[in-house]
Amino acid sequence: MEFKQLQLVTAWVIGISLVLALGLAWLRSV
Amino acid sequence: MRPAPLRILLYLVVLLLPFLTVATYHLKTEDVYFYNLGRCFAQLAFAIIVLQVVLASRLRWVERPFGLNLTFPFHRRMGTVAAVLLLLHPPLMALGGGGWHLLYGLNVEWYILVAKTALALLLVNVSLSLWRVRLGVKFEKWRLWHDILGPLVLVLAFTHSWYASEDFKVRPMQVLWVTYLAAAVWLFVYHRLIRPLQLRDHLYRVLEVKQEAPKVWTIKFAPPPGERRFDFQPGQFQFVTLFRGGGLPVEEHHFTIASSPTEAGFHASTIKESGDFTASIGRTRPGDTAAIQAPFGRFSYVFYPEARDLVFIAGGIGITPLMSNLRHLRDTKADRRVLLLYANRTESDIVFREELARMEIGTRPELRVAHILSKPGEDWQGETGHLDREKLARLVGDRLATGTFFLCCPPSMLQGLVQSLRDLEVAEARLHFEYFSL
Repeated sequence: MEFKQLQLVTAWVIGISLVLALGLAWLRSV
Repeated sequence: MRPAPLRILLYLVVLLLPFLTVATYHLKTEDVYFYNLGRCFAQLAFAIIVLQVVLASRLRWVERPFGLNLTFPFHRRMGTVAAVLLLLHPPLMALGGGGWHLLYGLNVEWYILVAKTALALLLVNVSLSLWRVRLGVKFEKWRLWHDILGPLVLVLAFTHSWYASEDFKVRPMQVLWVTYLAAAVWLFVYHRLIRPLQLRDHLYRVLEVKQEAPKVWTIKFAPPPGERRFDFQPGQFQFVTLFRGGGLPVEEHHFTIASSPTEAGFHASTIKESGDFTASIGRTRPGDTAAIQAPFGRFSYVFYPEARDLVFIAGGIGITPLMSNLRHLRDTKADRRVLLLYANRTESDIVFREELARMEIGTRPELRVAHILSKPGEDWQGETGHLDREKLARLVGDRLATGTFFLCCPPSMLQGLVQSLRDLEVAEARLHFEYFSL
């Protein structure tokens, strides 16, 4: 794995986590 | 599943397990959206902090597919992400009905004060890590504070969430949180206390200390009596704690292994005097002992067996991992074409000059060395100036299209070279580089 791929992985990890956080917060509120 | 994706998937599972547990056992709340979002951010940040310990603990199983010079930057970035999430946690809770006094008030429940303390300490920790050099903090001092602040933030965050959140009235969340905390604490204790003690039971011995150039020393290490030297690949590095007596500092530092694994019975690092610790490296003596943890890293041509045409670029003491690779290529009579671009200030700064010249005579590998000096003497016949894009294109020539590049230079030089190579359309998969420091 190279540096560029690491940046991509980091972006995906953050992206997936944020989307799930936003979704779960919504589910818990309705 | 391949090693790297499997580990990334596991990272995501540990990161998101709190969400899954909450969604399964305690989904519905009376709270509004922003309050719940604040909770989610805090739980995510806690899982990130737990995983920070895993990333920093140099576990071979975790590190192997990536190399520490990828897991450490990832650790750094995720630390910043955790700090941002925890910074957003209080305003979201306040916005969601918790009240704005949460942010500025001191007349709050004790576990809110614990959270404020944790957040402040986390911000100090992250700032020190991101801007250590700019803040003028020495590596050893930073590391000591990182070792204190990291675990402290983890325990304070645990305490706060345990008492503040309704989610921890649910048994599965309690089990998960205690497991996360226990795993992180155990790993930290193992990494910082138990393993160093274990390494002291198998001390390496300094065989030889040799001056290679002004302020550059090679230290040869022999394995403990009756033991075999650890296996390593060319270009990898080691963590070394030297025990030298005479009031010389006892600190753990990482050094590239400059020798080749083909050289039996010893391994060697070539080190330049620069920082506080390395300033004393020339005062190391044969017979001194060293606790060594190794090997780490993936800066090695052997991991890319399809690469037949290699271009090595070294700046100053950045030659050391490339020298390890070259020695391995020489000793295994590897059928490779290698071009080494080796940039230094002056002629006397060139380390391994004679050995490189001898390697050039051989045919396996087929090596060509181009020295570039930024401050050459009057009788210097070779390349001069800095290794810029024009010089790179001219010296590398048609290998730009076919070569696999390995670069090890000071950060500022590395950034420029990597950018130049990208501009010259060298594919990312053929670019491998290593910073001097982690």
